[in-house]
Amino acid sequence: MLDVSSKWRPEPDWALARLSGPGITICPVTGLTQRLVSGDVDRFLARYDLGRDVGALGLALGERYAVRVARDRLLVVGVSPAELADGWHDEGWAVTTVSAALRVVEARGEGIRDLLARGTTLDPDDPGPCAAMSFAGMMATIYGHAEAGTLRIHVDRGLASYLWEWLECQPLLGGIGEPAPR
Amino acid sequence: MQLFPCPFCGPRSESEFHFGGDAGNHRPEGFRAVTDGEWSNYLHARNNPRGAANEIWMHMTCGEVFRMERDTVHHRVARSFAPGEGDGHDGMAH
Ligand SMILES: [Zn+2]
Repeated sequence: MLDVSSKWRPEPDWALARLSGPGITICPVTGLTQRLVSGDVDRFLARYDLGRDVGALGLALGERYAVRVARDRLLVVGVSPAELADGWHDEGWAVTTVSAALRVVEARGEGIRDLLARGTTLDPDDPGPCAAMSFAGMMATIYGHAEAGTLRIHVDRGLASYLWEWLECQPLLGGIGEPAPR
Repeated sequence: MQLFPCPFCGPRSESEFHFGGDAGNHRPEGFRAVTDGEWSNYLHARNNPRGAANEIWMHMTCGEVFRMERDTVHHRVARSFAPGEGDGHDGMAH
C-alpha cells in the first residue's frame, strides 16, 4: 500500500529547534503577536506611534514595530488585539490577526549575509522599501531585528517545516545537502 | 536571471513575477451585447509582438499589479508604471 507518510518528516520541536554553523545560529521565535494592516499605512503608523516602517533588510527595534510588505500593507508585530481590534477601522485601515499563520525564525551572526545570498536574489546593499520577498523559493518577510547581524524571517506556517529542512541542508549550517536526522 | 522593476519594491528577480497578459485587454462590457467574436478576441487573441511589448505583470511577493514596457527581442525593460501612473494609461480597467 502506498505510504505517503514517509514523504514528509515531522515538524521540528519549535521550542528546542536550533541550528548553527561557523558565524551563524538560527532558532525559532515563538509567541509574537502578528497583524496585517491594509489601507492608509502612513496614517496608521502615526496613529499607533510606530515610527517608520521597516523595509527589506531594514532594522526593526524593540518588541513593537511595523514591517512594510506591500504598497498598502504592513505586517505589524507586538500590537495586541486589545489595543487594536480586528476588522475595518473608519480611520482608513483593515486589521487581520495572523499570529498563528506565520512562523518566525531568527538568524544571528556574520553568516547572515551568506544566508541571504543563498536564499534570495536581493541586492543586500540596495534592498528597497518592501520586506516581502522570495526566500528559498517561498514568499517570506525578511528584515533585521534589534541589532545589525540579526535577521528575522516570517513564512507561512505550513512552509516552516520545509524552511527548516532547507536550512538544515545548507553547507553554511554544517549541512551536506541532506536534512539532518530527527 | 533577469531583473524586473516592481513600481513599489524596485528591481527584483523575474521569478518573483507573474505574467498578466497584454495591457489594455479589458474584459468587454455589456453582457449579452458582447458578440462571440469580441469575447473570443478577449480570451484568445494575443499581441505577441516581436520587439516593443506592453504588458501587465504582477509582483507576487507584494501583490502589486502594474504595466511594464519591455522588449521581447533583447529583453530590455523600458519602464514600469505604478497603478494610476502614466496619465491614466496604466493599462488597467478602472
Ligand atoms: Zn513589489
